[in-house]
Amino acid sequence: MKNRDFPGGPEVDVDGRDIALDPGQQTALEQLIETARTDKPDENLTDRVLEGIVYRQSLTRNLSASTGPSRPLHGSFATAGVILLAAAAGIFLWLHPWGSTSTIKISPEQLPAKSPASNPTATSSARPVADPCNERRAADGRQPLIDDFEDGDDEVALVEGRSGLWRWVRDTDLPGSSPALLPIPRPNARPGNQLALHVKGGRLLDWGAVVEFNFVPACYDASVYQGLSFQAKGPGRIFVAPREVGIIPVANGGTCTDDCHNAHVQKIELSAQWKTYEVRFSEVAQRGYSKPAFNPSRLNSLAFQIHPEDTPYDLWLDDIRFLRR
Amino acid sequence: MVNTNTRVESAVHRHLPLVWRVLRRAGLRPVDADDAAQDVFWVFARRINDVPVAAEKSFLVATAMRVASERRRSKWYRNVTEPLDAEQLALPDRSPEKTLETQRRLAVLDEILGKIDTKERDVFILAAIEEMTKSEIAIALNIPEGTVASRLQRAKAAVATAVRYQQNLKGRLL
Repeated sequence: MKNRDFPGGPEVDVDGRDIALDPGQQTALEQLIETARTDKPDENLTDRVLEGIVYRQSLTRNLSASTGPSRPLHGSFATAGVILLAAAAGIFLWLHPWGSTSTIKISPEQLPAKSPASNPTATSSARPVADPCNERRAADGRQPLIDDFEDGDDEVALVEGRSGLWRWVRDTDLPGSSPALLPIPRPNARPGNQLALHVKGGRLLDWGAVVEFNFVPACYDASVYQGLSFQAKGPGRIFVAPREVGIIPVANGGTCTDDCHNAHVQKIELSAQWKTYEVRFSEVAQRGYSKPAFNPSRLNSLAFQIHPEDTPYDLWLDDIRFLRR
Repeated sequence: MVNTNTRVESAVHRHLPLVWRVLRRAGLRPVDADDAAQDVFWVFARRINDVPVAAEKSFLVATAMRVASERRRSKWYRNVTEPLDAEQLALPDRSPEKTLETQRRLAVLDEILGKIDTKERDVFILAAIEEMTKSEIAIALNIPEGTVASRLQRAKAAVATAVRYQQNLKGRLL
């Protein structure tokens, strides 16, 4: 790590944590950093960026042209307004001279605001955040079944105030175009256990795929339970993600304004045979250090995530239920 | 040739690799970083009269950090790692093996950086990878130099922890 402003330095940070690495680790880290320094974009990106700017400039010009020349202002009110604005600007400039000795402080420009439809994470600081957990429903601990799929529909079991619809979303789906997810006969069916959820797909390159449902209403208290259990089979692995309201953006009905979608997850290695897995709420974790523990009293949704590196995928799920204490 | 403002063109030629690397290390995948780089330079093109030449680099870095943050938040799931695909990223001057090794190293580094608080990570990226000075970082991130120093120290500690964790988990770092 060469930087003339940061030579050597102490072996502990300001909080007293150890910074020092052994020589092998230090060398490896420096090699990683050196590799990062040589990382570079595709050679034609320069032309694409310049062409993009030209294109956007032409769009802006066309937009200005299509709105036509601005009409001259008439009337005494408009004239008086212009004079007042000019006077205010003059006073402001007189009070805040831009001298050559002033420190350069440039804040990055805000990107143009998008509509909520095109930007699902858009938040408005002017709008107070309503906590959906003010109207939560709570499990009483007597009926832990979430869904065994034997009813053949895509709705979770309507017990303990729970409701919600299963869906299967892939990173290639356009909004609202996800396929319906209905149970089908499962391999090795037995009397009383005939149907299960099945999703199967090819290679995905963005964020992958997910089988999930949202609790309705958006906040559910499952703190009477200690976790989840389910049957699954398939190649690869999945990430089980009980999602809290706190990681869902405000625009999507949650309370999150920062580090959203960082769900508490537990990785599950699947096998070719049906197997029952248990995931305890105390064991799911968010990405990053010093993150808060999962709070099952603020449950928003339940997801089974498939990451791109685990695609193609072929996942069976059945008998999903809360885990009793 | 593209007909555009000479200064914008010059800035793109000079700073695009820096902007793109910052976007990548700030958590964006290559395809996202390409699009985000366009956004960064479009913001620059619109603000060009407000940005002194001496402040171009700082402005672009600050804008890149903010654009990356916006993009990360708009992703549905962020804990997705880039699949290793040598053919997809093979460069003319590199063999597939070399490309795969480079990609693997970057994936390891990104995994380490992904475990750090984003504010500390931003400082670490600019100091350790881009070798910017304390004052350059302070201007780019609009924070005092003392805060730059303390965040960097914390980042180093977090990186050290992540490196040890990574090595314990996989038996080796490289």
